[in-house]
Amino acid sequence: MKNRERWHALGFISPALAGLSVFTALPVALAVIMSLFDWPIFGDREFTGLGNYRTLLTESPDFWPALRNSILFTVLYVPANLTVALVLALLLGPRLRGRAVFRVLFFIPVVTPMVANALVWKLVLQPEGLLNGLAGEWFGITLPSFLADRNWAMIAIVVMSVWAGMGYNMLVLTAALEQLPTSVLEAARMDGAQGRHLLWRVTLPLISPAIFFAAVMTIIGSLQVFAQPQLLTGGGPGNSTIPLVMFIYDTGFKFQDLGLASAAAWLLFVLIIGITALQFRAQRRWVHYEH
Amino acid sequence: MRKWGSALTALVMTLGVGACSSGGSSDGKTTVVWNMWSGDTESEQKLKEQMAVAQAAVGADITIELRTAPWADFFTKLNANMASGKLACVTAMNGQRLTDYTAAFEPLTDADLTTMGISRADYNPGALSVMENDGKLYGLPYDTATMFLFYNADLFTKAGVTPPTNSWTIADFETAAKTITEKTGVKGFAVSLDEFQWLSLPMARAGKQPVNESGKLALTDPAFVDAATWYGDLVTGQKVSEAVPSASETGWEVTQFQNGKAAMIIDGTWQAATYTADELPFDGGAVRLPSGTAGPFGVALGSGYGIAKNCEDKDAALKVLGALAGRAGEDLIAKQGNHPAQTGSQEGYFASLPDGKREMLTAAFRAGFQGASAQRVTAEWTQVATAMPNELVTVYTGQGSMADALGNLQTKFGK
Repeated sequence: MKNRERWHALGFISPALAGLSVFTALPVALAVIMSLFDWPIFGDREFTGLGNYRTLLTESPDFWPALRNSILFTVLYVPANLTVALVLALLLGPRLRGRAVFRVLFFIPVVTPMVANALVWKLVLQPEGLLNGLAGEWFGITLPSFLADRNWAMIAIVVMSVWAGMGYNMLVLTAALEQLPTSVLEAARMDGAQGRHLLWRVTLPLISPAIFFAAVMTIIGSLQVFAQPQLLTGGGPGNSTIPLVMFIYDTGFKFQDLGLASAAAWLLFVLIIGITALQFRAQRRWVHYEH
Repeated sequence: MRKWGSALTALVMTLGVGACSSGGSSDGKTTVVWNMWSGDTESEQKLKEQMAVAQAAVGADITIELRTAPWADFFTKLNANMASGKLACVTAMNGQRLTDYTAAFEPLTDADLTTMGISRADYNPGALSVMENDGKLYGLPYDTATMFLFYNADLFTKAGVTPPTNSWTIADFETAAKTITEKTGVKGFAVSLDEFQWLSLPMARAGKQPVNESGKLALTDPAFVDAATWYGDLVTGQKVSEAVPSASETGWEVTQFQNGKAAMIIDGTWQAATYTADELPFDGGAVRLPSGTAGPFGVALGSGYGIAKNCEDKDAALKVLGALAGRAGEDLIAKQGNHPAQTGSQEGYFASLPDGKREMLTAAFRAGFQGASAQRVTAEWTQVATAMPNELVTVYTGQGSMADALGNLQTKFGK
């Protein structure tokens, strides 16, 4: 009987297992192999051992800047995203009338294709765009060319990304806020907790599992950022906004070096796994699962 | 390992594609896939007309199947097809990018040309060079192009400036751009981030290409740096052009020109009919590139079709290639408004131009190819061209010098 159940279970999970094997496990394994070869898109492949990793770490002029850009984007984007999402979730609390409408409005950018989002933001940020037009008309000043200026390009990408991505975390945190145990909140109020004190000492610790989930997923997503810089700045000016995934894409599909691209993809994978592991270790200190 | 590698790469990169694109036989009939770029319904329709002509020429035993992708995605798709060994039997190739793809194409022999009914004498001397690499011919060009200076005649009239001519010099260009900017409030020129759209004027001013005769990258050649610095100064110093708003805005100058926000731009001869069309809100004109002190200078560009190495039926592919790039195909290309590579079809192109523009454009084409030499590229040219916009943007915003931008590219790709 037990054996039969095992077969049934295997039967049920086999479609998912097959998909996972073909679409995830196999490409991942292949990427490991490819990263050890000089693997052009067309032509002879040659085993180079760790040569691609050495090239990336010591010779490639764009790898370190790309890694720096991905980390810089993450450092700027994740706190901004979580803060905005949390503020929105708190503002759209149960007392606010029509909060469902606001939630939908804030969530729309999440489900809008990134190309459309980027086009709108280009119209806002370019020198002849909305922002500069208003600044000129109202204050008589000329703003920098946000998408072409070394000091502003990354900030512009982060701002656009926060606008496009905040809705998802807002929804996660709203769900957590709505499930807060009323008895605990009432007890805290009876003990005199209110306002900022109630938020920092009671509410936030209670939703810390949701914050942890949002933080982990947002960091993973931001280390994989690609579409926003590709569409808004093309990685420029110079190499100031080329993230690691764009470096991988260019190396593999434009410059036809699949081996080097696979090695870079593996380094990114290790970085993401490492940071996620650190977060899981650190969660013991600040995430409270028991109510 | 290689065999397994190929199989695995194929699996990873073609999941979901599935269908064979390299052509094959069934029921005694052969299907030959023709892969070409196409940006819109109109160009797709033109390709279908070309396919119909080629289909009639090759007969019923061969079926031609057209597959297209937009220009921006074409080479990425090509790379995926190459990795999986599924390159279409007859594949379009741009002359500037050929160097990256020679391994995927079958070199054509004189016997192949004979089989296709093509003679080298059908082309201007040097016209075949756009599909040549290291002395081998990798395909047949279907068009021959160079770069033109396009202008908005209405803005010239408004500023009281005589419109450009085919004997214009760089100094004439500069004076006109300044005068138009001052007198009309519209910028006299729009700089570019695109490969030849920006390189052409510095090349014409310096009288040399950024790749030397030995095939080495020469972006830091003092004469070229000087000419390129002058080009960047059109934005930051002379202010006759706006700065391009971001490195992702390749093609920005086209919008500026077509919207009447710039009086002149540099673009390929393939745009001649578009930029002089009656539908534009202004009277558009075209002349050859202004000359530098060394005289007329330009590069011959073009695209063509080659036969994939993985093609199973090379004979059938040769027939299709001969039909697409042969005389009948070229005549149709000319009639559709593209300047064909075969000299015999070129008169048809001029005849297809609108009456009011024919004389001007014919003169521009005749003058445009004078002093045009084959474009030289390095093995890393695609990487150089990809990195150029990002460096140029810093020059246009005034945050970096042209010498530094070119130096960065030379350091990265000039080893």
